[in-house]
Amino acid sequence: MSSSPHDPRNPLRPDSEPEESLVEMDEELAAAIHMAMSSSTDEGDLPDDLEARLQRDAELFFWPSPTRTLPEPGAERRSGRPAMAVVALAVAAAVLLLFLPGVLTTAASPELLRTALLDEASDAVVLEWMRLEDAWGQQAEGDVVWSDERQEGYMRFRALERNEPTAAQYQLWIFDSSRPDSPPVDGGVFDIVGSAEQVVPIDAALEVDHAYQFAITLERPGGVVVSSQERLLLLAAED
Amino acid sequence: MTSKRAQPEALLPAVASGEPDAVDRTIRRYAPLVWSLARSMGFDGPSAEDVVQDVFIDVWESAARYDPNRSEEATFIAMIARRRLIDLRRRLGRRAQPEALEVELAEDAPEVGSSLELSDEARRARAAIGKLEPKQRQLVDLWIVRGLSHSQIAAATGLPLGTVKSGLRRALEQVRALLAGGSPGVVEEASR
Repeated sequence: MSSSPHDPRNPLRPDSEPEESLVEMDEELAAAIHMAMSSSTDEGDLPDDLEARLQRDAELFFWPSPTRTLPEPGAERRSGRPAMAVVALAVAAAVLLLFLPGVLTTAASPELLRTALLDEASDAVVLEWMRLEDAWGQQAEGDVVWSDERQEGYMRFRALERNEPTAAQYQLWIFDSSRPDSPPVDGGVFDIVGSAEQVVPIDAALEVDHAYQFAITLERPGGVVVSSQERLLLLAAED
Repeated sequence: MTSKRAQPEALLPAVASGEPDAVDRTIRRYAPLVWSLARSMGFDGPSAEDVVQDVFIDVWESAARYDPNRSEEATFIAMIARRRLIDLRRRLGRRAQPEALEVELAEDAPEVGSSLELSDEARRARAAIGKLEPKQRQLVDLWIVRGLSHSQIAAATGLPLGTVKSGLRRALEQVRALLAGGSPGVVEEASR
């Protein structure tokens, strides 16, 4: 367990209890201990068809075929919900079929889903990011697209500082006018992997009646339940 | 971590290149590990299967970031899995309730088994954990494997919160020292 940039010591706990920071560990140590100790639990055998479903997910991920029929609800998952990333890729493949019939082999992307949302959702709003004082956001540009009706949205970033996922992750917060006395809704954690434009799907933890403001913070890996907003980088708000 | 056993060929670089055989082999090699981690954190039935599917999507997305010189592949995948599991349980509010655990710190603390094909790091971690006192081992199990907060561990075990924190700190320092090849005795002595 070194202290190299690849495995910095971090408080791993996702909850926000202050005492958790008193015992810190690196993720690699936690993973090694967890692997060692979970082997003693009654984990049971891998379900018979799980491996086959993982292979089908992988096929959709790596080789999305525009001619592939989307799985029937429940066909790919025990809970009736295909993996969200797989759904996104499959939908994007369908969008490719509709809008870009000559580029059938191109991998699907959130960019196309964002464009489709803007085209199809009459209530979709586009709000530009406003930089705050944090140094990591000083060059950042972009916007957020959100539809209350479809509970779907995408963030677009350019020149937001790249993060090391094992050290810190960005987290989106959605301010809902129907929850004036509650903390903002967790919109999901994400990573910035380079300086090129990046579109990130919004993954709201709760249903949002009316999103009027969005904020980006930098948090510990895995995100937090309630942000201290120590590293508040970007804000996008209605006029 | 110093000495290392020969590890199986890393698959993720080939996965990142989209090689079908590497993808299949990654699933066969690591699905039992991810399943085990999910089960140990309290996921069961359909929810466990769903989260394993989500973890593997994360693995495919992260494959290009894997550096064999920095960590073992199994550990890298376990880190991805833990991140997803912790995040999902937080979202679902699935954290175990301490009153339901009725934990009693005893001499028969969790044993460290061997049903999984462990990575070199996990194997050495298992040896290090095996040298902890049973009560220390149980604290580590409740925190890292079961995912209880310090307060919940205190409530579940009846130990004062400060004792939970100091016990965990000592246990992790001891494991870290053992993994680094240091003397656990020194750590124990220093932490008293």
